Amino acid sequence: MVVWRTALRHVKLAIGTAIITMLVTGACLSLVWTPAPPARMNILARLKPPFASGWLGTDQFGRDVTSLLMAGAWNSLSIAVLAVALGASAGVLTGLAAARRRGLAEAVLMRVCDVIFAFPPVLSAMVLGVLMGTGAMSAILAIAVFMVPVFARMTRGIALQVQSRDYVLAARSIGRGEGGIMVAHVMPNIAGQIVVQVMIQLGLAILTEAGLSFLGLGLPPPAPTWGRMLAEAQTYLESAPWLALAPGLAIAFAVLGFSLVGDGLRDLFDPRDATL
Amino acid sequence: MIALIVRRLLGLVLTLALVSLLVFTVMSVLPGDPAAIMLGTSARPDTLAALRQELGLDQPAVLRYLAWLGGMLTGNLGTSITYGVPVAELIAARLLVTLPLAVLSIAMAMVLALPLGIAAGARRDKPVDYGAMAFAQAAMSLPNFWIGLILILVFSTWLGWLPAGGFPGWQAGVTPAFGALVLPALALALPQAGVLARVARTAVVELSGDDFIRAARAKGLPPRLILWRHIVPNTVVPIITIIGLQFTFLIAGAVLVENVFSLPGLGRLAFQAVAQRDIVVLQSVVLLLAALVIVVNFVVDLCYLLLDPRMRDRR
Repeated sequence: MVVWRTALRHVKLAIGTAIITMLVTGACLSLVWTPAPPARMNILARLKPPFASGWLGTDQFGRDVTSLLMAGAWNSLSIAVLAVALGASAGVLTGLAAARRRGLAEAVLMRVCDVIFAFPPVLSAMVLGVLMGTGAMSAILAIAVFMVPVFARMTRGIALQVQSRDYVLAARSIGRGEGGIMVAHVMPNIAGQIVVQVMIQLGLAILTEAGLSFLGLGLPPPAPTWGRMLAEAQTYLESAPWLALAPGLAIAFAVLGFSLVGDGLRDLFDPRDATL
Repeated sequence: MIALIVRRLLGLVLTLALVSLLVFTVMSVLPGDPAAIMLGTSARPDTLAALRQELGLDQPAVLRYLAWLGGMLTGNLGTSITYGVPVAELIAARLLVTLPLAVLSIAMAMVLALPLGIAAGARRDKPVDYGAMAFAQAAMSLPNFWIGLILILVFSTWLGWLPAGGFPGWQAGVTPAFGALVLPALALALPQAGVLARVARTAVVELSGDDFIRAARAKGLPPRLILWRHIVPNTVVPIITIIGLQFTFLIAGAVLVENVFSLPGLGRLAFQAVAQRDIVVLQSVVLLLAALVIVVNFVVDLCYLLLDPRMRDRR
């Protein structure tokens, strides 16, 4: 039984890595090559089913769906990566600061985190959209802000544990500065869990970005995004249902890939609470 | 116990005050002139001045904040410039769609997830377990608005069983109104069910190793009785915790799914307010949705105290 579980853990990691590799390859490839230029319209060949024109057919303007999907992968991934990078660094710094300062500063920081939790990215993206205009910037900010509490809580929790360990006490007693202790002793203990959380959050960020661009709160047209492809597909749901299929599956696979890698890594780092 | 609840209530009031202050600052103070945002760059100066007057922008921000808060409590939230009706009326009508949608989808998620999660946990590492967890993993990865599109395609376009969108209103009768909510609620429920099934499974697996379960087993109680009498009731606490934590995603999902199904709920109201730059409406709806998340989590916290006496001593 245990053998099976160990094997499964690696299977999850392997499948997840394979999906992400495919996704990143497709996204990067789209920068130099796509089957057809993603923005090229061809009204004569509009709403063609898969294989009639290109692998996945064409949309309402006759654009090649495969090419749109590849270019959309680049847009989704870059927004997700930027948002997570921003949210994770702000969150980790906040968590470290809270663990270091304690007292009132900690209480305030953590209360702010509780408040942020009540604003899912869709809400903040709408608010930011009205104030600074919809676009990549407000989408990235909205997604990033929601992640700060996740990373802050996690970092604070582990940092508090590590700070009370004997080896930190020893480092302090030989005169090591607090900054040095953070870098040499606290960070290495947090790194693994941060990597796991980054993977999980990347998946969620892709899901959120898709939702935002579905509502028109993401990258503005004509930049292709998976979310907007779905929004446009809804109009042609009856006559061209395949248009709704490919972008949805692309989102689902991307999310699945990151969450499998996140789960797999977590089980690898901490086999004690391995979930299936 | 009473003292504890009072302390929690004070915390709740503090958090809500912080949230309202944040919403107000971001939407009414930071932009400088909300009236200019609402009317756009081509507005005539006298219309702008009239709107500024109506919004009370000539008064200091502190007074406006207090007036807005007071309005929140008395149900006077101003008038929407796009709809020309009181915001409170708009919100009340939309709540009658969003709240039933949320409740229905939580119920659906539980009905789907709990049997799966419990079966998976009770038969760990068996095919049931792998199947259930594969389903959960897949459901969690699907975007709810896409599930919505697929449900429309299958159940409305192809089978013609349920409406593809719109809402007849509760005055049209419970059955048609309910029918209009079934597909959107299912679209919201599936990803939630994935999360819940995983939590239920973990809870069952963890409890199975606890001393009191080992004692029950040693005593010779039949496994079925141990599962239903001792394990399942104890999974309630982690499950309601997750329902509380997931509520913020449910609200976010409602914004999307209401748009897919053209349901006149709070999420769609907020979305339309964005398109129309109606800050008066958006400000109150955003606060209400955020407050809903906080209050639900507060209620979940209270449920712990009622369900699990150990929590009362702990804090």
